[in-house]
Amino acid sequence: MGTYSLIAILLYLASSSSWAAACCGGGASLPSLITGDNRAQVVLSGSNAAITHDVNPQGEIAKRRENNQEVIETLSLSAAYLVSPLWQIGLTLPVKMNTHRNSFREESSAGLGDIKARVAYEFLPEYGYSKWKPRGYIYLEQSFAHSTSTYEAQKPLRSDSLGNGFSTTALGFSFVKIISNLDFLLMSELHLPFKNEFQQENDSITVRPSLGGSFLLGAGISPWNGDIRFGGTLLYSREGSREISGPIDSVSEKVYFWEGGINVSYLMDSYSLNLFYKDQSFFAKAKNTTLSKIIGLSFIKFFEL
Amino acid sequence: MSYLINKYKSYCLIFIKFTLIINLSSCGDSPFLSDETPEEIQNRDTLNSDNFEEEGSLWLRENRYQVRPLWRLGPFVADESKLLFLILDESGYPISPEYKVFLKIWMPTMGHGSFPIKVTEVGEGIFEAREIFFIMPGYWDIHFQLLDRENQLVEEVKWGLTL
Repeated sequence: MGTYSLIAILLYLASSSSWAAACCGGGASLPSLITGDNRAQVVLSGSNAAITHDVNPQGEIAKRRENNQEVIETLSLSAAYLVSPLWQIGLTLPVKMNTHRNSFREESSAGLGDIKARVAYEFLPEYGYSKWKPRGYIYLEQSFAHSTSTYEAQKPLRSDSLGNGFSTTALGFSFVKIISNLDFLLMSELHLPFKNEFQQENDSITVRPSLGGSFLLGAGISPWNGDIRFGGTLLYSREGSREISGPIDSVSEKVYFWEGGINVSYLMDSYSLNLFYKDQSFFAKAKNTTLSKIIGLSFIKFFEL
Repeated sequence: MSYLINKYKSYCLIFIKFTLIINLSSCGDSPFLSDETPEEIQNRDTLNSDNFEEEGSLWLRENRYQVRPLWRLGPFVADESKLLFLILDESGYPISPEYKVFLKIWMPTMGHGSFPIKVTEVGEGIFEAREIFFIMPGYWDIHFQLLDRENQLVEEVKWGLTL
């Protein structure tokens, strides 16, 4: 497996979004970056996330029953383009379908999710081989809130909540390193969602979110340096409290969750197929959120320089 | 040229086959969804309430209106719950208040609610609230609200419960 393509796959698998339930609007989303000797890359990814648990502010986890089923299916198109040897730009367009059913009712809604645009800079390039020195990237990402969020959803089971409701600026960095047939990744970001006003039935509310962040570790192995790679990820995601003002004033509790993931990739010529599974209930460490199990398949096409 | 076109056609096919397969074949389903039947919510008559007075009523407009809620269905997590509530005057007789009666549910720890809830006056001072969906377990506030003609909030009283 080509070294640079392998890094790109690793970064993509680690970075594909982990969605939270429609109600909660959170979820970690780290960007996919070009990390090899490619001019551009296009990623098409499909994922299926089932909300399996609810977690209260005390961290007590309750399994969902058959009368409360919620599935978020996401089809995401992501592209990145190298504008100079060290600078790149990227765009992500997700299409989401939320399905929520209880004992007597089923609701589905589909539409465009929150669009993201980013710029990244390779601040630690790899011009020659080093045993220890990783490649390092820093990025700035802007998401644009245009989809319906839980604050303005109209359907009773909130299936029409397709976005988190806030335009968000994220600043993050990542390091990648390959040693023999092993690869390692570290990514971290801080994001600041901006306050927004939402129209509800008879009135409007203003929501002021606060700083959030995520931290991700990934590692993988390509047996016999072949075309197949097996990997694992560990993600910690945290959202700050939200201050709601309007007819009902309240301050929400902070949110966090841990997520474990495994993935397998197969590189073919200039493209790659990747199958991944992520589980937010595996570590059973979370607070004030919902937890999902996610399966997905992605296709990455690399365009060489 | 035709080689390149064919090559990209095959890429497109792989795009479609492998990335849509999950989304299109699952149709809102997942192998991870639970098939366990929901638990009965126990002790629903003694639900945690932060301002329910001893006699089981809530007050509005400086004790001019007394609100007496009674669950007709539920309360359930996810499934529809229905609430019947009476608005009584100072003498304990049902009365239609001069304001519009409105119901809102809110989950303060999560910072969101669930709406719309349909409230119908089925008799003088007797209200039925339908399509109440507590979309997740946890602490909820039920807001009994009085609105003026411009839909501005005049007063509200909260009833807290944990599901």
